Amino acid sequence: MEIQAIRIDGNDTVATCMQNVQIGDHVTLLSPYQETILCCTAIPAWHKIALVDIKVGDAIYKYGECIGTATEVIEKGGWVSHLNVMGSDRQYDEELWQEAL
Amino acid sequence: MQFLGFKRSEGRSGVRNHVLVLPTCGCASETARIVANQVQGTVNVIINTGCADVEANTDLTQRVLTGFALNPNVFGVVIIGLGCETVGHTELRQKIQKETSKPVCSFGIQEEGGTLKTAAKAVSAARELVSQASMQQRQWCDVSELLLGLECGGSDATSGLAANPALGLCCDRLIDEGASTMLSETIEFIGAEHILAKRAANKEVHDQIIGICKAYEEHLASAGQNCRAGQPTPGNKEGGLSTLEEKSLGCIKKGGSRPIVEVLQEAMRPSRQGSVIMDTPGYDIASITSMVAGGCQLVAFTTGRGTPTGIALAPVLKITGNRETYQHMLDNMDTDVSGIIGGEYSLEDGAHRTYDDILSVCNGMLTKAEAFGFSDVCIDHVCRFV
Repeated sequence: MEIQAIRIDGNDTVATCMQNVQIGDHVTLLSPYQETILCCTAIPAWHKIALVDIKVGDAIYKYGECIGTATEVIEKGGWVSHLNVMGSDRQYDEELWQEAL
Repeated sequence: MQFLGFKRSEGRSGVRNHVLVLPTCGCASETARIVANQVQGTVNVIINTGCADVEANTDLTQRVLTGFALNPNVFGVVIIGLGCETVGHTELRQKIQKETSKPVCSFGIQEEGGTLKTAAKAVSAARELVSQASMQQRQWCDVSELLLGLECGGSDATSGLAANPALGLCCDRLIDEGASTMLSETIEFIGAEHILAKRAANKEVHDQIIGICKAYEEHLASAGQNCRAGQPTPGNKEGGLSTLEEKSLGCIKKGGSRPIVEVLQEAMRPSRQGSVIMDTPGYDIASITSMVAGGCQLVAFTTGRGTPTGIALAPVLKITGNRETYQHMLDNMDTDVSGIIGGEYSLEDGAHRTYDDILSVCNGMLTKAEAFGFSDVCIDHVCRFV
């Protein structure tokens, strides 16, 4: 079956699936990306599919921003969820106003 | 843009014309409810504070109670006190009367000799106020009088893709037309605070945005809680949101892109026009309580999984980008922008739908939560009761 998914930013390493996905389904990214990925795990609707092979400790990108790091190896076409991604601590002091910027 | 509102002697105009039956403390809340039940045109709130609190909690309760009374949607106020609470009905009434000329009266349950004797007087007073309020006609008001609260709850992955960006675009249009908006839920900035801070109008606001996030995380840590342990919520995770960062990056989109001009403490009223932030919890009911106390006449509430929440003083408009949720929870959902994701219409079209519904609600259209008469209130708490 062919399922559509939304990649928000060109740097994103995940896309959001618009329906439930089964193993072996083809997931096609909506315009302007057009790439099709073979799904290797079942993924619930509105959950994320990996667009690249992800190693433990790799940053995961959505909205063009880091949403956390992988705690497990995630294959391209696999399910990216709270079970294999962990949020990161913030560095608030480094985020304060920089006069030079 | 203009809306048909209720002019007040001072401050912004209301989009509703309620007589508020306001308890001073938890112990007076049920008597206040009995009074409100007898008089059509009144609304009441049930509160859980007002007594046996540390000073910081008392201060917040007082800001919420006075803020409710001063909210532009309130025509007049009937205060019900007990008699032994931290701030009694006379003192609360005088504080409110210092800031407004709207009619305010108050009664004490211990003074009057119980619920029924208090209710007898308070029902008469409320009936008189409702009679006066019913004579007031809606008049054209400029959109610059509107202060729109922004909320999201029961978020899922559609929230950051449709409902929040649509509401954000709608906010940009409202701000360009002169209105003000209030973004809250500090915990749901964390992970996206660096992006939000880029919208700051100046250095002070920039560092306040970073500062409230840091302080919130430290506050929870002092109670032994990692802020990432409860966020995202179990429902958010089931809806496809994996980390606090992912949730926050979607959440902040509902605030749009215009400069942020002020960062407010909880339940404070803005001193500036434009896009403001209030430092509140992510708990929807507490956040809405504080924003309405801060003067918001209307709350635009985006949701993915669906939620019934409403507050008696102000309409809460539910906007969802999840078609299944809209159809499955039609009793609670007001605005459907799911066509954005399906590609049936553009994000701009979704923003127009949201804008049109906000305008209709300002002009008097009841939201689903209002039609049910929902009256959710939660006053945030920084410390255990004494």
